[in-house]
Amino acid sequence: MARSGSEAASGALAVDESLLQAFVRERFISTWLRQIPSSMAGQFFAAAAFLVIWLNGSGQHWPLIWGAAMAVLLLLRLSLTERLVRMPGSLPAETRISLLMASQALMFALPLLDFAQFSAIDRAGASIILVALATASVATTAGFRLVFLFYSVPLLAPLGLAWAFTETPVISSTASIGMAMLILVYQLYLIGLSRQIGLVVEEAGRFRFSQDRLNEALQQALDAAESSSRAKTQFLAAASHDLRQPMHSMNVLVAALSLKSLDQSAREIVGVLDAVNQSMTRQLDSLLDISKLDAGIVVPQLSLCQLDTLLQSHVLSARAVAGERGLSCTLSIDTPLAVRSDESLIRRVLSNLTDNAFKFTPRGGEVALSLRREGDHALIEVRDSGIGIAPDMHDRVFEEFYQIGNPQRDRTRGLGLGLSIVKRLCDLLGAQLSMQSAPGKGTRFQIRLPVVMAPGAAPVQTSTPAAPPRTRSVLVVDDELSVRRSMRFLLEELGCTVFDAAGTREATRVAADRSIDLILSDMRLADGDNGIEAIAQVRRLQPQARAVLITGDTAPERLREAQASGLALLHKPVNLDSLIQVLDARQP
Amino acid sequence: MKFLLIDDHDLFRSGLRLLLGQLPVALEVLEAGRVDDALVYADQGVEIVMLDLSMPGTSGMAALTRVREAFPDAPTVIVSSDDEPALIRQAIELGASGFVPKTSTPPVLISALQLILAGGVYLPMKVLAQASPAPAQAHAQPAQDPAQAGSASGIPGLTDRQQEVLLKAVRGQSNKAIARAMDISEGTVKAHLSAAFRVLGVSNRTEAVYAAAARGIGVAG
Repeated sequence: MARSGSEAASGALAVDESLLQAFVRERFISTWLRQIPSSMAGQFFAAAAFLVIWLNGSGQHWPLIWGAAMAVLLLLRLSLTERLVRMPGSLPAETRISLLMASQALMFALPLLDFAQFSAIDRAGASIILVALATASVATTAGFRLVFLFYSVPLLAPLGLAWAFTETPVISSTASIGMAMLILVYQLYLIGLSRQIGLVVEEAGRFRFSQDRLNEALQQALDAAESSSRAKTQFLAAASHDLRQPMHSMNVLVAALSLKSLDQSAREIVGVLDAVNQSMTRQLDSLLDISKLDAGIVVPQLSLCQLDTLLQSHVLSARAVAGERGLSCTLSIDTPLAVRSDESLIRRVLSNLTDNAFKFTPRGGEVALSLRREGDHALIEVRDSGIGIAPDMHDRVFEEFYQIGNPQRDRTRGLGLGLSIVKRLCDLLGAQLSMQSAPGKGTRFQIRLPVVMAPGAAPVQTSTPAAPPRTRSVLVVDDELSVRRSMRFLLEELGCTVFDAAGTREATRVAADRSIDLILSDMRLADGDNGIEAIAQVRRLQPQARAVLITGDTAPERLREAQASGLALLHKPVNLDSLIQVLDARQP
Repeated sequence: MKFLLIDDHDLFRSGLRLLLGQLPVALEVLEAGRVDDALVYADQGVEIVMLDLSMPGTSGMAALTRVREAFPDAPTVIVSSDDEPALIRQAIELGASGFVPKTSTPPVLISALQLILAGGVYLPMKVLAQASPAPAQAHAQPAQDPAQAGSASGIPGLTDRQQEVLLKAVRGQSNKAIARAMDISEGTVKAHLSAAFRVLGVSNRTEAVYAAAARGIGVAG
C-alpha cells in the first residue's frame, strides 16, 4: 500500500533524494527525542535491578558508586539530551545520539568486570537485563542502524565476552561458550530486525514526505485558482463600474432628447436608443452584482421580514412588467410568515426569479408566486408556465453567463446572470434554493427560509378559521371523561372532527369504520391498558393515521418506555400551541 | 433659480445640463467636478445642490457633510449609481432631501427633476415600496408617480404654518434657519414640527422625508 502510494506520488513529483533523507532523519531525531523520558525511566529500573545483582555478587562498594553515577547520568540525559542534540556544531545530530547511546551502553556493561564473582542466577539476571535493553533499543532507535549498533554492540559484546572468557566452577565451559554464541546470534538477529524496521520507517517517511509535497503543491494550485478568481472579480467590478458611467450620461441625454419636439421617426430612434441603453445598464448592473457577491462585499443586514407583505409589494410592481409582456402574475399566500433575513436581498432574489420567469414564458402564460409554511420553513415558490428546462441543463442554469435555448445569444435576454445571482444570494442568506423543471412543463423555483415565530402572535393566527389545520379527523383516547371532553372542545374549535374512546377496545371499534388522520392517546389508561397498545391496534386498521402519545409521567422509566415506542410525545398539560403544531405537522 | 451640480463625470454633467435646459424652468446651472471646486459658489445664493455620492478621493458621506455645511439653506439632492436602501437612508440622515439613482429611466429622471425643482422630495420607488421607516399609512400608496405628485399640496390635518415648517425641515433646513426665515422662535418651529410629525405618523426628520416622498408632498416655496 505505502509503497505503491509513494511510487505514484514520487512519480508525479520527482522526489529529491537528499531532501527526502534529511526529512527522514529529522523525523527520526524528533521521534527519538520525544521518547527520552520513558526510555530513561526504563533504563532507571534496569540499572536498579542491575545494582541489586552486582551488590549481591561483589560485596564491595564499587556497585554503589556505579549506581550513583548511573543515576546522575540518567538525570543529566533526561534534562540535557535535547539541548546536546540540537546544539549547533559540526557533529551531525545522529552522531551525537550515537555517542550518547554508546556511553550509556558502556555504563551498563561496566558491572560485567565483576562477572567472575556472579552466581549462575546473577549471571542469568544480568544477561536478561542487557539483552532486554538491547531489544528495546531496536524500537527506540527506529531502525537507525548506526545508532542501534552504537548502543547494542557495547551492551552485548562485553556480555558475550564475559560469558566466553570468565571461568567459573558452577557452569561448565561448554555451557558458557554456548551462551556466548547465543548472545552473538541474538545480536545478529537484532541487527536484522533493526534493518527491517529501518526499511519500514524510511518507507513511511518517504510516503509522508511525498504527501507533504503533494499537499504543498495542491495548496499552491488552490491559491493560484483563488487569486485568478479574485482577479476576475476585481476586473468585473472595475469594468462594470467604469462602463456604467457613460451609460448614465447616455441616460440623461436620452431624457433630454425625449423632451425635444421631434418628428415621428426621430422619436422612434430615441425610443430604441433608450431601450438599448436600458438593456446595457441592466446587464452591467448584474455584472456588478455578481462581482460584489463574489468579492464578499455584500453583507446581509438581518432583521425580521414579514414575507407576506414583502411578496405583496413585489408582485404589485412585477405585475406592471407582466402586463406589458401579456402574462398574468398571481400571488397566493397561505399564511402570514416572518423570517429573520435581509429584506432587500430577498427582494433581489424575487425580482431575479420573476424576471427570469417572465423572460422564458411566452405571451398568454402565467407566473405564479406563493408563500406557505412547510414544517419549520417558509416556502416561497415562483412557478411559470414557460418553456421549461431539460434535465441535463438543470445544473448549468445557475452558472454564470449560461443561457438555455439562446445559443445565438439574443442580446435582449441579457447575460444570463440572473440565476447565478439568485444562487449566490440564497447561499449568502442561508436559504435553500431548489428547482423543478421539464421542457414544456414550465419551471418552479422554491426557496426555503427558517420561520421565526412572532412571540404570542403566530399561534393565534394559525388557529383562526382562515388557516384550517391539515389534520381533519382526530381520535382521542383517554380513560378520563373530563379530559376527553376538553380535548374534544379544543379540537373542534380548531376545525377538526373528533372521535373519542376510553381505551384500546373502544378505540378499535371507533376506528373500524371511520377514517382517522391523527390519534392522540394518553399513555396510561385504566385497567392496565396503555396508549402504545391503543395506537398499535388503531393503526392496524388505519395505517395512515399519525399518532401522538400524551404523557403526564415524569418518572424516568416511564418516559423511557414512552420514548422507546418511537411515537411522538406530548407532555401534560398539553397547551394550545403544541397541539396546533401537531395538527399542522405533515410528518408524525 | 441657481442649480449647483457636483459630479466628477464631465459627460454626465453635460448631459444633465442639457436635460435641465429642456425643462420649463428658468435655471442657472453651476458645475463643479469636486466638492472643493464647488465651495466657491457658497455665497452665491445657490438654491438646489445636486451631489454625486461616488467621487474619487472622498467618501460620499464626507462630501455630503461638507456640502451641507457650505450650503445649509439649499436642499441637497443625491445622484448616485449606487441605490442601496441603506446608503439612501444614511444620506437622508445626514441631511440630504432626496435621492435620484443614475439608473432611473429617462421619464422617471425627468419627473424626479421636475418634482425637485417644484420643491418636492423624490426617493426611488424601490426604497419606498420596501419596509421604509415610514409607518403603514405611508406604505398604503407608495406607487405615486413623481409626475403626478409634483404639484400636490396640502396634508389634511396640518395648518399652512405647520406644513411650511415641515417642508423646510424635510428639505434639510435647520430649526434655526427655519425660525429665521419665518421670523418665529425656534420653540415654535419645534412645536409645529412635532405636530406635523404626529399627523404623518413619524418620529424624526428622516422618517418625515420618506413619508413626504411616499405621499408626493411638494409645495413650491
